[in-house]
Amino acid sequence: MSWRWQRRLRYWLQGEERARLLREEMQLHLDLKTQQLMEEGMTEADARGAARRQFGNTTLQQEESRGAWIARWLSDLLQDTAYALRTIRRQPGFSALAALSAALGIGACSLLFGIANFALFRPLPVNHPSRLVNISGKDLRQGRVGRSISYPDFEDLRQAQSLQGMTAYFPFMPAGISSSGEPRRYWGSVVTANYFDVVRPAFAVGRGFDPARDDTEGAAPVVVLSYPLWQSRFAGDRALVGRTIELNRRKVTVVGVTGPGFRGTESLFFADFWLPFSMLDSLAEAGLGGDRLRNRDSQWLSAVGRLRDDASEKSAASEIDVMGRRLRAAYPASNDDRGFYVERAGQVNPGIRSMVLVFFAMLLAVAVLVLCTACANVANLLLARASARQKEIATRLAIGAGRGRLVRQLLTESLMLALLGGMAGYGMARLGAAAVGWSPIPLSLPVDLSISLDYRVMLFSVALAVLTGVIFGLAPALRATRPGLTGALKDERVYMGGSRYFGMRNLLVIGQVAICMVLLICSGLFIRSLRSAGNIDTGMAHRNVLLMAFDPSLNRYSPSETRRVVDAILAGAGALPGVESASLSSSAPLNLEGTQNSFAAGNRETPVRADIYSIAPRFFETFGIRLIEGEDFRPGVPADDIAIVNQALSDQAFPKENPIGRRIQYLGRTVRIVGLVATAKSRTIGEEPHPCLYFPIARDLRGNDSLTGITLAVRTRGDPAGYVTLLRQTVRNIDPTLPLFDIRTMDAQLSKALFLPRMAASLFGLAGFLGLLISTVGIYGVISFAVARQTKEIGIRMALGARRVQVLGMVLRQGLALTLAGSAIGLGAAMALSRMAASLLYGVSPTDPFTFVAVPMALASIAVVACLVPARRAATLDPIRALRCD
Amino acid sequence: MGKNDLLPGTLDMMVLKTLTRGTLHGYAIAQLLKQLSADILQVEEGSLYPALQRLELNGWIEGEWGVSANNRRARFYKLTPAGRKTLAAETARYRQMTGAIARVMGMA
Repeated sequence: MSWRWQRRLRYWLQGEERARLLREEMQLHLDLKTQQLMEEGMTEADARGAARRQFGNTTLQQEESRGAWIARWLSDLLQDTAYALRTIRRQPGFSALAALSAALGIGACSLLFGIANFALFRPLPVNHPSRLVNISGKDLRQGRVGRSISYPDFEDLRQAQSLQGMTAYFPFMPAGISSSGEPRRYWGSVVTANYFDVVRPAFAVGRGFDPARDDTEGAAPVVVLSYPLWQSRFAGDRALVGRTIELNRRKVTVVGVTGPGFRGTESLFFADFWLPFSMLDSLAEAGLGGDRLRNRDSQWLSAVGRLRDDASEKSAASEIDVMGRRLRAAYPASNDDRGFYVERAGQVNPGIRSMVLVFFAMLLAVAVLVLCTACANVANLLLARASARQKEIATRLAIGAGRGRLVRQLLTESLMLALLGGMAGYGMARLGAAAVGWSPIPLSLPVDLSISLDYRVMLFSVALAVLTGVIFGLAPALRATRPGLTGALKDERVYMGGSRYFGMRNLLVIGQVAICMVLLICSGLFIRSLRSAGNIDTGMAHRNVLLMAFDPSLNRYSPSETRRVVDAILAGAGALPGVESASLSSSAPLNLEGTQNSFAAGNRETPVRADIYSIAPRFFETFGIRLIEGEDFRPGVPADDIAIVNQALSDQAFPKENPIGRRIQYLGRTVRIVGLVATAKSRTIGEEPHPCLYFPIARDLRGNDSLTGITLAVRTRGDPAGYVTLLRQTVRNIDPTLPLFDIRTMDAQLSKALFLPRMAASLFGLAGFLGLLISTVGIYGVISFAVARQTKEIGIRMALGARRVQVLGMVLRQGLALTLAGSAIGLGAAMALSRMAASLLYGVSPTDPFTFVAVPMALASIAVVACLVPARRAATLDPIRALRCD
Repeated sequence: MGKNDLLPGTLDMMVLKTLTRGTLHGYAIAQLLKQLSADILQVEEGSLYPALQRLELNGWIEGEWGVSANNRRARFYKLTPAGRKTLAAETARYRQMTGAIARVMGMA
């Protein structure tokens, strides 16, 4: 019935005009009626009254007539929205405060949801992502899933009937690119040639690999680049496709560039290029290839399959399960405890997913606490305002407004405020996401932090805002419209709602203060911990040390070439003016990715675990680690069977003995200890003394670990950052195609190692600061409100002789009572919670007395200041005027 | 009688019925309803106006501004063909309903 709706719309659009005409009609009716009644002998006044009585409630009839024009709720909604906007504009201070409170809470929650959404729920940007499944290994003995799989197993599994295709790839492949500028190391994947046919991402230019050719060993080398790499390094040159670039010192033809969103199929990590398996052979120097393609024990691949149209994730899982069982029977030696696990692709590796979830749950708890304090504030401000509008509301109830209608209107207002807050909160979440992208993470793996907030996050923000508006607007709205008309109309505000009214507001403030106390104590503990972590003696002199990494395996040198290049770099760096000493190491200290291994010492039964370092001479001098006894490695001396140990290792393996000259068994070799050094921090700042075992790097120059390469360390006179260009030049003179990466000062390395405590401190610090801000506003609001309501009482007291100081004290006492109650609850909760955080605290007890005294005192003094403003207002009241006040 | 004591829909039907006598303004419709029902049906007079709005929106009556007997601007309503049809249908339905009710009440 569209004509009817058209008419409705027209009526409604002409609403003002029609309403005026309707009033005229009704007025005519009343006039005619009055006239008639007067003719029947009534006085004019009586007649007018009788006419009105018979007519009924004029306003209501008008409203109902309007109701015929357009759905009532819709017109009400529009009216309420307009009214709410007007109120918000009229009280900008109040509204900004309320919306800001909501924004802070919603922003924090949205950011976390955004990160979780990004890491856990985002579908891959490919054609039909829901048809892609991830196939990983499952350790049947430990029940762990998410393991890598071997190449022969992959070859068997790819026969599965429920899959159209299956591809395997190695996701952590570093490669140096030296065309178009400074040589740099990038991270990519080595994939079977059908990778792009299975995954089906969009292509910006060109194509993927050709399974017919690119799987063949020795085929012409090809590469697919990611969009960001193409843009940043090759300026988005479309003509690049078909040309060659220099990758690991060989010419490789670019066949395609993927679309902008695609960064590979490994969640949380990104790839910048893809190489086909045919190049494995030439990548063998990087520690791949060789018998890895034939060995079922060598598990190193991730795998993704695309489901056939008639297959489901479940049917694929059961088919692959059966295949796994067959493999177990056929190859008991290697596949004895191996099964396979199938799930939708693009999710965080199931092996670490629960850890990631717990991490997010903890962060979310903090954000929800902030949101709760924020919302308590909004509720409190609304309550205060509703009580100030008591008279207006009572008047409206008296002239026939329904309670439901008024509640709806008040709710519309709180919703509008919450939605404003939600929008601002979403904006804050976007800023936060960008900030996460810049944060340094102490890993050299290609971790993907390019968090983008999609429409789901926006929906989340809006939903959260609506929830906030309803939950925290409903109580004030119901309270404000509670019938109690006569009192309110007579301005007897003091008696309205009674003490319970105050009770709720007080409870909200107490809750706020308690939450704020917990957050502040936590942030206090973490900040103290960060400070003491910064003061921890690392056992090194970390000033004026510059670190940079290079990976000779990227350039596929022969062993003799490697030796020549590495020696030349070390010698060149050591000879630079201003360089006091230079050395090499398999991994820098305070890096989480070093090697750990066990060795047998003398006659001890149990092997000792130690961090293993391969180092060049002068390592200890360069890092400022004290040599206690014995001697350093010497250049040019054959060094097959000697090692240096640290004090912690000596204490553990040779308690109360001198380790020099003792022998240990390591990987089947007998090694003689020639030196003893002081214990320095090895992996993290907070660790207990770690046993460390240092071997001469000359033994395995290739770098046993192609993720971190070889680290060159130089101790400089003066600011080490100034030596970067010089060192780059030195390396370029030796080989212009060798990429340098992870260039940083030791100080920067140190602050990276403080990543966790710093993150915790800044997270809680921010949350605590927000909580404090919000609670201060809350206390201030409640006390000002109380003073406003007690104006008359204060006036009476003053008239009866109360001095100003006494009035001041009275108001302050009210505020402090609330603060103390909240603080007590908060302190109790903080005691219980901080114990759980003990493992994250360095050099600070979870019940650190300083924090537990200083924070409450600080909170109390801020509360006093917040109360002082309204208290002074109360104390300076003019009693005469206060008494006259309603 | 209060305004809620009428059977639902009957006010609309009665308004349509009064308009079969010609074009009338609101007050006249109210007077006529009162006279015809011999003062038994005392509708809250104001509730006539929402009813008129409803009927007009449905296209059953048409309002037009004219001048009343005492020279004031008044809105006169007249039945449309659609309204006539609706009235006939409603009347039939009403007869059926009251007949049925009467039978039940007579039996008991």
